[in-house]
Amino acid sequence: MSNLNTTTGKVSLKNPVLLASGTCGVAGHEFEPYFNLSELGGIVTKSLSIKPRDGNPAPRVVEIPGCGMLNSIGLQNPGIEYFVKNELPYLIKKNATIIINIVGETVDDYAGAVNFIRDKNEISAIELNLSCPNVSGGLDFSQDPKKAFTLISEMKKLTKIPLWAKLSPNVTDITEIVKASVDAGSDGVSLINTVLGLAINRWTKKPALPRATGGYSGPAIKPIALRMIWDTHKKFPNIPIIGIGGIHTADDAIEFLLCGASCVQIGTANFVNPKASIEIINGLKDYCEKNKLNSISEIVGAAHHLVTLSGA
Amino acid sequence: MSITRSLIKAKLTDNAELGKGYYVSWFHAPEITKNIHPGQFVMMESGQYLLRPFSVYETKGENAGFLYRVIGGGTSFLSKLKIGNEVLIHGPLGKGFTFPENKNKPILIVAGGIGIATFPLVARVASENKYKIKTLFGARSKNDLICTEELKKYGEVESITDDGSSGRKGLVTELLTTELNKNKDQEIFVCGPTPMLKSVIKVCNEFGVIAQVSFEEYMACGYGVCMSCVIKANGKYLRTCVDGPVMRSDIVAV
Repeated sequence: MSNLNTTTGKVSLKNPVLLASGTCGVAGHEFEPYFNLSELGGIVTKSLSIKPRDGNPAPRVVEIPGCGMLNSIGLQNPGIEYFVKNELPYLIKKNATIIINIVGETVDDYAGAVNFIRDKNEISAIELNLSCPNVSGGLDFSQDPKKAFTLISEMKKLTKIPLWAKLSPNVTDITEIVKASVDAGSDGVSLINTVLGLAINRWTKKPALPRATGGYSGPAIKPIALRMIWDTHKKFPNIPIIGIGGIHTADDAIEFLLCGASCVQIGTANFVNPKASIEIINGLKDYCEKNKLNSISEIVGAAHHLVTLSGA
Repeated sequence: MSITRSLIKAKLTDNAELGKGYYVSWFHAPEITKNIHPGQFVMMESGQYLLRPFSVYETKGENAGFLYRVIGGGTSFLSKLKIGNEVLIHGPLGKGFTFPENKNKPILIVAGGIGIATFPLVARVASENKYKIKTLFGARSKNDLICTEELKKYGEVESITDDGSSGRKGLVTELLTTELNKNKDQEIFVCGPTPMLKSVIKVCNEFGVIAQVSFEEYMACGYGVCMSCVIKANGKYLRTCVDGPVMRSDIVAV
């Protein structure tokens, strides 16, 4: 038993480091030259919809120098049916801990997609993408607590697989949406998706991305993610939080755990270093040994125990 | 599927200024020189957040060279590196050019601007494999006609400039049209800026010939996970980093 074993709600994980949706291809084949998917805490698939989606025309990304990048991929994916037939067997064969990310524009879209996987035992969790900023209507579910509640309660009726709601930071009070999600039966909340942003190209005198806005990710959004996890864990210490947002190193991951996330997802860092997730896992192992932790989960939320910490 | 790909810290061994803002940076990178196939690329750390794609210009022993023009922060950073400085290099990546099975089929290189950077290695390897090679090179002006002496070692080079400062004034598609009127049965390798690629593909389509075209779209990862660098081919978006950069001209929408 490794000291990195952990749980997020009902979901057991080999370690708290997962690949974030949209940053590991459709099903992570591309990592084969670098590591085995089974070494990870888990892999969250590309957002899958009931029908295949082409995505947006290029350019789809623009770098924000020193800070990260904006993307507007537009949820290009082969559709859930194709995925279940052609990609899920690969992930099962690779012995990966599988989290399927589902996206849609209507409750029926989500339901249709969830129905394809509702009784698959090999799936550890379903992450509902309530918050993709790059398609019309995509943000609605995570900006309106009532809509989030309706969507998640409907999905809860369809499957016993644990549900994680991936929420948008583009809201006034994240805890309202968190509450609605959990009241509806969500088993965890993934915080955060990308931050809406915009870049201007001074030479063309136009927005750098064709749809103008994009999702901002990378090192610059880490403090935003930490703040939202902080607020959520402070108000609802028992709600499992999957931390996401600019994590590049084991130190970053530790900060998320201290803040209240029980596991983390590595996103944009995969673009600049395909081995980022494995390096983070190794860094967490070292951290446990140096700090004589029996389990990495001992530090989850520790930053909230201010008195204990200052006395330590 | 075996992929020979490395993620290495490579030391700069030489930074050669070719003049007029063009540089060749050489790195000790045996993992790259051993495994590179002409037309493939690497992602390179260049002082920015994201890595940048560079095609391999040439190899010399265990050193890999990258030719570029200083146009922004990344290329400026590279041009100022000192011998011994280390950068992260990830590669070789993508699919390169495929040499024709028929060794008697001549290879026709069509380059536009900095697209020339990928061809010295291509031409040398092709020449070592006894292919007949000819290069058509279009650039903005005389100052941008780089590598021509080098390419002449492997075969004839015809150049054309936008402003007429060297050779004929015009576009590389004019040279291509003349060439295809003479002989359509050539293996055509193309690299250059997107508008030039599109014009070249149109010419190829008119002649009913299929070219191998190296595309470049803005990319974040270079190995297929971010799905940024897409072009429409066969009716869907393909990733230029893993499905390319070299693709057949007949599948690409222009």
